Amino acid sequence: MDIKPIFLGLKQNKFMAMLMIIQIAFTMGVLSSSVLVATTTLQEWNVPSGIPHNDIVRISPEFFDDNQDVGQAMFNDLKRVKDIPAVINAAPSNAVPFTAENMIDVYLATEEDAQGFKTVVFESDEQIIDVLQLSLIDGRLITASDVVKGEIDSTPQSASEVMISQDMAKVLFGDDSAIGKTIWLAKSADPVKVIGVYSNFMTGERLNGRGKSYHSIIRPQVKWSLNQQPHYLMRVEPGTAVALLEDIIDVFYLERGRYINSSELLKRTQKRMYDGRGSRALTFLVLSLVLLIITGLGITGLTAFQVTQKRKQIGTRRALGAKKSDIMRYFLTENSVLTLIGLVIGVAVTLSITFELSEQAGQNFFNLGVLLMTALLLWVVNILAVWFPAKRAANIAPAIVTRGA
Amino acid sequence: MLRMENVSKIYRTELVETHALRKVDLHIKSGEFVSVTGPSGSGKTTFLNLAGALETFEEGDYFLDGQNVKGLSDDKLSEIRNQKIGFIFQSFNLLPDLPLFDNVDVPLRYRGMSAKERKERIEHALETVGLASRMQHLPTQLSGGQQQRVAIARAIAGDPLFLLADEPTGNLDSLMAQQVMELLEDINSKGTTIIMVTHDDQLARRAHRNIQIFDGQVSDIEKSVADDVIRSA
Ligand SMILES: Nc1ncnc2c1ncn2[C@@H]1O[C@H](COP(=O)(O)OP(=O)(O)OP(=O)(O)O)[C@@H](O)[C@H]1O
Ligand SMILES: [Mg+2]
Repeated sequence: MDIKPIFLGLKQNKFMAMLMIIQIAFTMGVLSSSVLVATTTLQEWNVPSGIPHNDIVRISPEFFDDNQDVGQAMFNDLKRVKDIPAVINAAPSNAVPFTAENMIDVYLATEEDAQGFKTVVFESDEQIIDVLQLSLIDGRLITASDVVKGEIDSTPQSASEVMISQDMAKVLFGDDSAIGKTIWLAKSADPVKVIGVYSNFMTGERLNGRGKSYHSIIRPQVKWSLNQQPHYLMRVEPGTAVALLEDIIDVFYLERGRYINSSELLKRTQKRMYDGRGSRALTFLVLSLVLLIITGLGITGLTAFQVTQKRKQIGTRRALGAKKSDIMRYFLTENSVLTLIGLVIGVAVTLSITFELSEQAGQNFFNLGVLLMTALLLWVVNILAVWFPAKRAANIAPAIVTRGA
Repeated sequence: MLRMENVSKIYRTELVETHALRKVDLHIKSGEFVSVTGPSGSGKTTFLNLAGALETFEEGDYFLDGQNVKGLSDDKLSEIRNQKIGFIFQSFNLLPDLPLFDNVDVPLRYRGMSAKERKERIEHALETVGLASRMQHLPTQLSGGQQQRVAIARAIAGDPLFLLADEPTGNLDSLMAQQVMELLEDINSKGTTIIMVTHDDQLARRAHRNIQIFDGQVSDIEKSVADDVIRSA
């Protein structure tokens, strides 16, 4: 509609127009990139853990005395700890939720070029399902008789049947049932059969943030040696974990020749993992906000400068019949044109940044909704930034055309 | 067509009150060419600002085309300026970023005319002032006289009730001033009312009627007597 005079005006003020566009494009690029990264990070660390982590305690003992019988100690540990009334159940495990690090590739075939799928294997006994409160989705649960137990050197056999998580099943087999399928826990060796699928739970940071937070396998085997001992996971009565921790540690100290390497409430582990990312993401967001404010003030300044420079022209327009609202509209439309161009360039910049980041991190940062919201936010900030100088422009008296020429 | 009754304008600052116009009674009829003269600071521009609805006033009544302008809203005043008045300023006041065509277009756009009608009017107005061939030029590419002719084209394109000119030749050399004056006379001869503030006695004398302002007070002299007054002044 009244866009032509605006374009003609911009044509004569290319430098100013470019400046505005660059400013908006740059802000959009930085703002949306960091908002995308921040929200992705927050989203990924804010997913449900899938376990009652407030009520689970982990203990990691370690022997320093070579003459101890680790197997016997484990038997004693589990018995003693389950004797504590508030401890509901306990299981040994080679990995701990949130911090599981023993990542492997699992394969559907043994060919040279078979594709691997990243996952984490939890080696434990049949109680792990109850300790983590996992529910059965498909097939059957592991039982005591499935569990292969023994000292590493004297136990060459391994469990040949496993359970896998729901997400893992989906990735490996899509909509087909996973039950009865064979998978390989190493390329061209170690085939195992899937007997059950359990509900998702958070494995650890190694897999988190790539859509693989819930990829895990539970293998019913507990193997140990003096320098390779399992951790213990214990589920306690809701709300008692904090008070109970010392008692539990005491129980583990009853065994001779070792110390407790680490003991932690899983609620803390979860927080520890989440906080780091959360605060980094927050820093990003705060910096972006500062940038946004600076840009807004910059636009206000540029526009105010324009208004001052064009007082006479604005007065002339008023004399020739422009209403105050026409003057407002002129500046808002002009700004919108520049904002639109800036946003388009900014989005292009963002796309290339997030594409690059996604490549590097193997994680998708793009999110159309967030991008649109950021664009909208920037637009609103721009309108606010222009509003006040535009208001001032609208209040320029038409009489200035005949006065003080 | 234009009637002022008892109009006064007082500028108030913290220190002083300036009575820029005192109880002006005036009637200008359709088709007249009126010149307004007077010493510097006497109130000529003030008169023109009120007549052009560029400024408001507190005392008296001003009827434009039968409508009392006093107390109208800012938007309404914009509409009146846009539809009924053509402005010509001493310093031309073309919009430097816009080609001539679009300069003339400015008031027509605010009037909300169709693109087709605007185009016709713009071309006709620029033809009238002899600049139709330079429609796409920017104001800075023209001489002062040419710029003032564009301003005149802009003022007449909307067929206003009257033209208000504040020292239209003040920034021009005598030859160009001559041309601009001839153009105004030509426009007046086709029926457009013109009110022109000027310092130039010779130009003032060419009007049908001369209004003199002294210290905010208007004395109205018909053409016949005006010449003598100016000559003896
Ligand atoms: N905005 C204003 N505030 C205060 N006083 C003003 C204002 N505008 C004009 N005046 C005063 O009003 C009086 C009339 O001014 P005006 O501009 O109408 O004179 P003029 O006849 O056009 O003079 P010139 O021939 O120099 O252009 C002057 O005394 C002037 O100082
Ligand atoms: Mg003046």
